[in-house]
Amino acid sequence: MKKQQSELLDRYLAGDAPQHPERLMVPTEDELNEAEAAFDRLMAERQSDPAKKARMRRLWPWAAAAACLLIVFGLGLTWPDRQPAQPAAAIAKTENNNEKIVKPEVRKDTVAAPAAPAEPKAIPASPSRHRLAKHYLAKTQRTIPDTLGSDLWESERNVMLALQMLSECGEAIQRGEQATRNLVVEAEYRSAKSPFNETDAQPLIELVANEYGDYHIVAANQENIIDI
Amino acid sequence: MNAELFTSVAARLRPRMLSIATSFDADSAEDAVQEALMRLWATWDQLPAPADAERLAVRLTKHACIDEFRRRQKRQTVALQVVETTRAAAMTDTTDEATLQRAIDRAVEALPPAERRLWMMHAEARMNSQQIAAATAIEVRSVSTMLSSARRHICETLKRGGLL
Repeated sequence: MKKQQSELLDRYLAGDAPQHPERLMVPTEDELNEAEAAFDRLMAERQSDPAKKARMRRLWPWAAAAACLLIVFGLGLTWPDRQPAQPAAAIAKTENNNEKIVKPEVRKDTVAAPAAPAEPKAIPASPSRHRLAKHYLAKTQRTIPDTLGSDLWESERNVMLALQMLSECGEAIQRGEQATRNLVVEAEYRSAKSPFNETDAQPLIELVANEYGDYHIVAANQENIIDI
Repeated sequence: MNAELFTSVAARLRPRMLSIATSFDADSAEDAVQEALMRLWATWDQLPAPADAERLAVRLTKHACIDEFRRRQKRQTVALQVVETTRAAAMTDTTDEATLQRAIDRAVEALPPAERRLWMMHAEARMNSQQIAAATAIEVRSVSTMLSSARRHICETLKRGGLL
């Protein structure tokens, strides 16, 4: 590489030797005016481009269809929020004013959404109300989602916990039933021993409990009274 | 107007210039803004007031957009002819300076677009890092780093071509 070339390159890399000074030449006033006019004309042409308009015209039906679908799905998603909370309902006509009454109805196969108190609500008769009621019925007849996952019972610990819960529930039910039975037996005993009893002679009965806690009324005769 | 004022005026004008260029052609908007700002800098001393700079910047941007638009159209229609002409010129031009200039042009063309824009401002318009930072909305530190990177890339390209 020659010395002259090397010097030129060094100056260029240092930013002291521009290679294209013509790129910095400011256009004349006429050139600027002409370019400005061309710029504005091209922009105007692009905005009124018939091909672009035709393309937009072709796309218009699709855009309208997409907008309709969005509206329909949007309404479907927000519909339950805008309705009063009601369980599955049956519609019946009243006799006096041709209005319809929505009555709550318990469905055994499905779980109803949280419902308002079962007050019959009168709504004006309208053909669209039938469809709306059906739509709402379909919305409310939801099954419980499996939020725990299908592999819940694959865990031995989960099964043990479930059995323990079942067992505790059974015991609680038994305790409740026993308490109720005991209350009844105790009430019978107290009524028999009451001072307001019509019969003057007090019956020789006693209230006893067996080893399981069940109350019993027994006759208190000499044979079965044990002195301790 | 003094050189320090260019930094603030360029930073203020750049978004508007970029908006004009983007509305015309988003792909070449940055190049058009760079060219317009380089020309604005070249004539900065002769401008009487910042308001004149603003008017001129808008017109220069539109001119750069139209210039690039016409260059592209020309490139598309006579691409083959241009290649043949360049080859012929390369064969006949034997001066060392011209050889070096072509090699530099090729090396600059091979730079990444952002680096190329910064390098052109540095090497052709002789703008300093602050002015380039204001004109490109890039941090001064990043401008210096990118300029060093561009310089290294150019040297490597020239070495591969046997000119260094």
